[in-house]
Amino acid sequence: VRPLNARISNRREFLAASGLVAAGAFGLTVPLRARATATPSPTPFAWTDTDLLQTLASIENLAIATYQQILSLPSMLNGTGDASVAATFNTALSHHQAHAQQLNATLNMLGAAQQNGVDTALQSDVVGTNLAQAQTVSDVMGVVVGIEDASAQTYVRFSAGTRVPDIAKIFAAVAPVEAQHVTALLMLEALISDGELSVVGSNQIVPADAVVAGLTTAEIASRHSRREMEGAVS
Amino acid sequence: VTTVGRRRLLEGGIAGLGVVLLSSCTTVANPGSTPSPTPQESAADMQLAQLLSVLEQTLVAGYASVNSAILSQSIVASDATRQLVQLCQSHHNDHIAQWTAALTLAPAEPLRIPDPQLAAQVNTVRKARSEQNAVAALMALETVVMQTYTQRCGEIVDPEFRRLAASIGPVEAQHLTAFALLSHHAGLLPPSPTAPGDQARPTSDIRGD
Repeated sequence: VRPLNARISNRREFLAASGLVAAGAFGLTVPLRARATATPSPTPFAWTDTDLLQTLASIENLAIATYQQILSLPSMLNGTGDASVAATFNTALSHHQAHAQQLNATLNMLGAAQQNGVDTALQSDVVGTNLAQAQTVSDVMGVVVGIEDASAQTYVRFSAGTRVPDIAKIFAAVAPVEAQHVTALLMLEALISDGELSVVGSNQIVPADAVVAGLTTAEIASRHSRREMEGAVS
Repeated sequence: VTTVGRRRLLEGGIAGLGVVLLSSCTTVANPGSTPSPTPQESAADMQLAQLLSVLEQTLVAGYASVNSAILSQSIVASDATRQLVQLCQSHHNDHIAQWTAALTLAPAEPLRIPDPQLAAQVNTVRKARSEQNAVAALMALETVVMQTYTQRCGEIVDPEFRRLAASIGPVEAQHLTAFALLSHHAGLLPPSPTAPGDQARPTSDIRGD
């Protein structure tokens, strides 16, 4: 069976098939609207850009739910007694709300089902019972760092995976912000560990270990990225 | 996606991205692998890759200058600044190596010069004689490069070039967050939910037109 990309030799030809989505190895074409709600066929190219958008929306929804749960915890546990921690959590939450809204608006425009649920696999892997059993601010930070890291890595991998430049551009504009969430949280974690949270926004000397704590790699890796269809609406 | 619609989207700012996409996109593409670029797309991809490589050279020129000034004590810097400048420079050297390898494989010439259009900004870095000014000048350069990655990533068709741009751009954004802590910004995160692109550089920077 010839792979789909062998039959569609270039992007222009592909985009010329406006409104149609090829159904992988079977060589069938179905209207986008029908594909978006149908059970995916088990083909070598089983996932679609709709799946990518829905999976990212499910990750955003999990991030929103988790930040909201964290913000409802006592300040001793979530660290929001400190203004910089509270501001970081609230800004990150508002970012994720905007991302989820943008992804669902795009899905809506494409005639695909919106994703309003959370990524349950990521929830199980990263959140689990960790929040319920959290005893320190670092425990709480560990949970959101896990979600943010998975989110950033998934946006990066999907940016490279999508064939549609316009969708890649959306992913590429969000990925840096997710990566910045990771960095900010890791820096705050280090400052908490150093007992130096008060340096944020002040003129005090910033500990070197905190400044570099959020810069862990020269490139965003993909080992914590999520699968393409993990959050697809079936 | 109509040609006009896509061009409008690509030329538009990131802020209006979702709205423009909604008004211009009429299809969703799907397969799990990308097609081979056309010769025209390959040529455009190589220029984009060369531009990003040249921007990394520009950053290294700026960081090397500040590192040198710190070592010679013409800039008195904190331990945090010294470590951050060294780490960022090593990241950018790594990025250059990645682009050089990808361009060589393409094959295309890996340009080994800083962006001539950013010479004034690099000069501002070189002339900085205080830690605060050096950090501000480096942040300005990092902002331009991060925005170029963000803006140009979606224009790249070649899967390997796109993967590289997608995985490096967010690290440039992380550098800015570390500089925000170093510069005593009250908010560590940017207010906007998406990275802007208004300072992104065009490929004409390296074409000389």
